[in-house]
Amino acid sequence: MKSLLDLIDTFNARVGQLTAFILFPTLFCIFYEIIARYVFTKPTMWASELMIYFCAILYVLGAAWTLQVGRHVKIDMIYSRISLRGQRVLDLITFPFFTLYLVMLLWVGFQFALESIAIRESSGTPWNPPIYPIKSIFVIGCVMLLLQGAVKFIRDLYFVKNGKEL
Amino acid sequence: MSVELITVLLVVTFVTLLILGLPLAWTMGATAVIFTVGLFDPSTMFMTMTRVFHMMLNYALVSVPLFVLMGCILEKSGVAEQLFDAVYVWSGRLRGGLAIGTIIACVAMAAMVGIVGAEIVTFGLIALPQMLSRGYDKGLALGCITSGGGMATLIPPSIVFIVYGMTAGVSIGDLFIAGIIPGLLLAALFIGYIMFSVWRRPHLAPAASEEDRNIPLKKKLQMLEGLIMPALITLAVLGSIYVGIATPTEAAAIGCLGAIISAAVNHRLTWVVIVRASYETIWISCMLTWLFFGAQAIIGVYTLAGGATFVRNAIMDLPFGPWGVIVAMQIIWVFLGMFLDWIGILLLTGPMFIPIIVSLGFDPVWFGVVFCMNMHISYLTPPFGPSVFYMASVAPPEISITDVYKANLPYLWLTFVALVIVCAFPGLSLWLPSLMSR
Repeated sequence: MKSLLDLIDTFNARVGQLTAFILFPTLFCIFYEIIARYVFTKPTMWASELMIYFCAILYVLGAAWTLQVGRHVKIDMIYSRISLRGQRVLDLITFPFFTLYLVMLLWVGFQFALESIAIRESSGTPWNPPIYPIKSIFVIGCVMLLLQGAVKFIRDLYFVKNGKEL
Repeated sequence: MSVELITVLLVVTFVTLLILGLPLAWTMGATAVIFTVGLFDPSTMFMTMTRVFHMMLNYALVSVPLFVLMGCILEKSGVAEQLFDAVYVWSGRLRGGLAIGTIIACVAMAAMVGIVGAEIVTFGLIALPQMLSRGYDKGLALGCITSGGGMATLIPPSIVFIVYGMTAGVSIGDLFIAGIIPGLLLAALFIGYIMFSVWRRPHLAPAASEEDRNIPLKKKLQMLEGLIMPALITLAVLGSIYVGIATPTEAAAIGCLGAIISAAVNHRLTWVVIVRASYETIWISCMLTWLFFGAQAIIGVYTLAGGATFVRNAIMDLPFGPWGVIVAMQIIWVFLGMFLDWIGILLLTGPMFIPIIVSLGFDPVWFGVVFCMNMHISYLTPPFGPSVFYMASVAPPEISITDVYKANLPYLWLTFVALVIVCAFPGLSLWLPSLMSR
């Protein structure tokens, strides 16, 4: 069990770490566009659109890792004043609500992606790239988030039951 | 179900989940799902999803990770140390010079970094030990760093303005430029206060030592080198927005380049710095964007249930006239600020408040500046004062959170004064943007 949980942790962190570097191609797109526009007075059709997709990937594939390192903001007025065990119990209680939201996003996102793939949807801009990969990545991001949530849930459960970390 | 009942249930669900410690992003999303499924049928989620995708593929949103990256690199680039050293050397003879210098350095840094936390932590580590070791009063030292660092919300490029611009549908460039004069006004009030209080009570800030006072001019001039890069970055980022040759997103990219060059010039540009900055950026960006997604969902369902109209009517029915509405909104913000971060407040109240003030004839850009000043206040007020927490996290252990809150009281009043001035004279915010070329 522990090795599976560790595997998911490692996977989400590795994907997140790799995704972080997409910031640099994003920067490249913007510089390319600036130079193309002001130096060669020939703006590109793709640069400003491509960077939006790069950033979309950043938000979606980094979310699970952000959850893992505990960087999603919460209100800790009460949370920070109770014992570690109490915090874990609260996390167990709120887990179904997290799951509810993510399952719903996954379900709807999946339908969106399926439909998008079926019609080979493109963005409809002058450059007109296919848009279905982005919609599919959103589904992957939701799955990663759900897995990360589940890992945390199992660890919390173990901690509350046995008083030590799994 | 009546809209009043829905509102009450929605708030109760939201607050309960939040207090139980569910992160804000999931709290908004889960509340939205519960009410979407409860009030409408699950297929309404498709509308929510369209809103989420729309947000995800927003051009302006790209500027968020880029400004965050810029701030993260600058934070590690040694620019803040140089800024502080330069200001410190030049303010040597002035009583309270270090505190005044800290405010000036904070303003300069805020013109490059849009994140309050980064700024307070950086100056807390650099300026606080310097002031305490020179016998400055604890309160004076804590107050000027916390309140000065908090100005990053108001002085462009501020992440708060970017999110406000996306929520309100107004130009982020206009907002940035509109924040300049109110930001400087605030800084001037802070500096005036420090000068006044060290004049009245000289023991708060001992005079500089002989050694500090007699720094040769050559060395002083050398220190100015440290100001070149920050000045260039500020000029490139804000200047390009001001003259209209770059969008905020492009300006952010230029700022990133400037930050990387500064770090390289200071021999701080290592692989580790780049990696840490990128990681920090992806965490902050994901945290923010998933909040946006959650807000899209909850605002979407609440609007569909007639909530936006309900809030609108309730506020319009207040018997205080247009200015009463503005004051009421700010009271709501201050109240919410006791529990929520600026981003939660903005995402939840913005979509309701902004159309109202526009229909009352107020300018949404001015309202954005007013919002930022409110957030500066809420960042300093208990029980949830993030600025204070950042400061306490880097202060020596004998300094308690209460010390920091107390130290900031005078600055809190001054910010309030500045807020009233900015409210009363919209020209302070709107004059500079009105000069911008389009």
